[in-house]
Amino acid sequence: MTVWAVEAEGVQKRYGGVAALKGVDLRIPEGAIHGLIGPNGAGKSTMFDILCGITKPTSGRVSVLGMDVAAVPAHQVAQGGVGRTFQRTAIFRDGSVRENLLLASFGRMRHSVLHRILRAGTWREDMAGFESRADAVLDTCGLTALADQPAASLAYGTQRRLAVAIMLMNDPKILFLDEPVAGMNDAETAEFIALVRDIARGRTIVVVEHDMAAIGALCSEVLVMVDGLPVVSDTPERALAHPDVVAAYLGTDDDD
Amino acid sequence: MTDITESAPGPRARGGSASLRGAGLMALGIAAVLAAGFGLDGDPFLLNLAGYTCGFALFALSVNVMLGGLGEVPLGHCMFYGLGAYAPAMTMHHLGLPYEAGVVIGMVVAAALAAPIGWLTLHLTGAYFSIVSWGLSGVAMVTALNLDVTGGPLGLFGFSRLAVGPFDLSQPATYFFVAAAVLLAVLALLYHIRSSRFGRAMEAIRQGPHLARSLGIDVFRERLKALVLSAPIAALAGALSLPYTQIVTPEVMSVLRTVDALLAALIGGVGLIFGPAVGAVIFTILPQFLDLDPNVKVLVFSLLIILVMVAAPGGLHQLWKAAAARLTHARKGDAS
Amino acid sequence: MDLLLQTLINGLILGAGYALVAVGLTVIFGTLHIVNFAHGAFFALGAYATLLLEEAGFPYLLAIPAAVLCVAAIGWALETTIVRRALYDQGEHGSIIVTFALSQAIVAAIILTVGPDPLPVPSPFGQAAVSAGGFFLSAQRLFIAAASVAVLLGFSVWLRRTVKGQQILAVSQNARGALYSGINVPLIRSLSFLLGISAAGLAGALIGPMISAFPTMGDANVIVAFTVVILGGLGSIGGAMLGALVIGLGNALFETYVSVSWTPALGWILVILVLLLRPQGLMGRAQLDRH
Repeated sequence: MTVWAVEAEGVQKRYGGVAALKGVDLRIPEGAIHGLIGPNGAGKSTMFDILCGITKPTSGRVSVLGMDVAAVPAHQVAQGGVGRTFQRTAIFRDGSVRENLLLASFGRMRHSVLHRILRAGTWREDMAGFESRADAVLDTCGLTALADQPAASLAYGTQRRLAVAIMLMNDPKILFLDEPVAGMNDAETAEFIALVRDIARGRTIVVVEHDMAAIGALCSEVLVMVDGLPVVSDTPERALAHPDVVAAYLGTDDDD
Repeated sequence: MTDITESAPGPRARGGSASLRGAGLMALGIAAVLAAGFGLDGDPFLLNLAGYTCGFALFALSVNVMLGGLGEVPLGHCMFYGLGAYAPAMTMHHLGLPYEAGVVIGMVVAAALAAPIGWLTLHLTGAYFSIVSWGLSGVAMVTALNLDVTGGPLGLFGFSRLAVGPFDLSQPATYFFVAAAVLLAVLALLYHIRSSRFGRAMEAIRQGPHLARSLGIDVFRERLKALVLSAPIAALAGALSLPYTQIVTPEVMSVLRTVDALLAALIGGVGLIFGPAVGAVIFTILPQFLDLDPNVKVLVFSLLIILVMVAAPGGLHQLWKAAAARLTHARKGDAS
Repeated sequence: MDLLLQTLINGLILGAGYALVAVGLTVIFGTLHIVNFAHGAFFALGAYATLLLEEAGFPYLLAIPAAVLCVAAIGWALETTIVRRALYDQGEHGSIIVTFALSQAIVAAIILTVGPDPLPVPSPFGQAAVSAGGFFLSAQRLFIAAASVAVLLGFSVWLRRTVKGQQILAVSQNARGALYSGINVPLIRSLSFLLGISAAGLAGALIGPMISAFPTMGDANVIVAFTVVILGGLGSIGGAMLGALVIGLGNALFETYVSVSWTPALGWILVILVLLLRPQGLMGRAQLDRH
């Protein structure tokens, strides 16, 4: 029997009088790399934010890792093992690459102010633990050589890898990637795809993306959304060949 | 803007050496206090000024919890400073309570007031937060002007005994040592906060609230904690100003007070724990020695701040760091 | 009843004066996305420039435009040396600190050059009062209202009818889009800053004769302007005008019927309430960065 990482039923979202989502069903099995695609204005970003707990749906049921993300505050969703990257790359701009990762390890820090003062020993142990975790993540993401570089000075594609590395520090069980390869050159994209395949072991990955080649290379299944409604859910090749999908992409101007 | 290495020891400064460094800095601070205390011995004016400077440094640290910690500009923080000055003045004057009790009451009230204020206002960020904060201090100042218990526009003065336990603060040397001890204690507290979960959370929020939230940080709650932490420190600073000023008037809540603290924090560097304290010393002692007119002081320091923000948004220490880096770079260039 | 009507008329006239300060603030916010905490200092500069020009022999009506030019020139100098470098596309708290420090520096400079004491700004309207239908209005207030309305109307028309005006509106609505459509965004931002502070200077020149010139005269006005601008929705010019009238009326009613000594707190209480309850403003253009 399949265990579902994401189960959404009849998700609707209205902004004032405008319906962004008109009833979306979505099921993603645990361990899958799942795509979410569609022309601009299809509502995939809204769906993405709802799944991460940032936006609350107007109606419908959304369960991620068994959490009712419609009812739980966003930071608790994150604590529950949900990681996400941002379309506009979000990193801590004032520190080095390593400092970015250490700052992200906050989620696993045990020491309140009082503990910090009274139990300096365990604090030191924990810090050493974060250091080695950071070393491992740096290695996974191919950032070891850049560990001491200022994060803000990294190339664009590298910053996107850092954004993933930041999330990996908390070892999320499901990771949402918001247009991860947008704006990357071919080499960066290939590198990134390899990284995502690598980190997908043992976790579920959901990708919103316009780059169909990347989607095809990564995803076992995609959900195509058009105009706030799911059109088809299938393998990338078959989904993109679906007549309604072809019509939707031909009918709209799809440049971001 | 913040020097993260202080909150998150880097690869070469793992936990152990960070604690050592903390202890070393503390020893240095104590040595500086002792040297200043005995060096100024016999000059009551300078000792009093030094005591006041310690109080002002506390206020700068309090403001910097918001500025360097959260990236907000708490223009109305002078309200808590004023509250801290008024509390012992009012309890001594009307209730006959000792000074220490008034100080504690002021700190408790400041923290208790900061909680609902923060709950209402910390949903706002940036200029909106600054305006509301400024507004609250404006209301507080008008209130102090109009009430009888605060002494109206004339304020309260003529305090019988300003003392902490056996330490009589009307003795300039005692005043200085007590204020300096309090300052060092708060510095030690802030140093540990920096490397605690709360300090890490603040740093993450300052650099990116959305990213912080996606890492599991309750952004609103941590911001609220920061305000509730900084308010009693500001109140303590206000209370420690009494032995120097000998009077509390509504002017104590003037936004200029906050601006002074902001300037001190920015001169010293907002990210460094010791930055605001060093900035406070520069800001109060230097004009005294140069015998600057208060308005020249404001003009010079305001322009300095603008210069800092244009050239080195992290504070002057960033300029020094950049200069040092350029020097070593040049030296390497010569060698090769 | 007569007192009420008199109060309402005073309030509307007061509102017209506020509108001038507020529109300047809102134009700067709309295009530069900074809240100009130095706005009050430029207001004071306008009043002092008028005063000094009058002492140099200019008649009041000629001193006003000359003073506005002076403020614009100072603003231009500050814009090119400081604002442009420090503020555009920088973090928000940097702009708060820089504009606030700028206001402190200007106030200190005024004290050092002219002195801290209030100085009367002569006006031909003096203390004369106009009586109309049983109501008394000071001639200076009427002049302020007439000049504000004329300037604001002219400005609105200029924004809609001229290329530069249209570009300002475009930048305030969508800076990136404006950049892509070939608008010189940095130029438009500088122009908006100059227009904004010139409006503050003009307000200072007009209101100066009523309240005298003193270094921190801008504080009270800019506080009211914050309220007005936030009430109207930051960046919305129509909203600023509407907000100004609402606040003008509110202030006049409070002063007449409640308390004069608590009136300074009213502006603050209003600005706090507005930010907490209706941060998107009366006109409902959501601008606020909330979590």
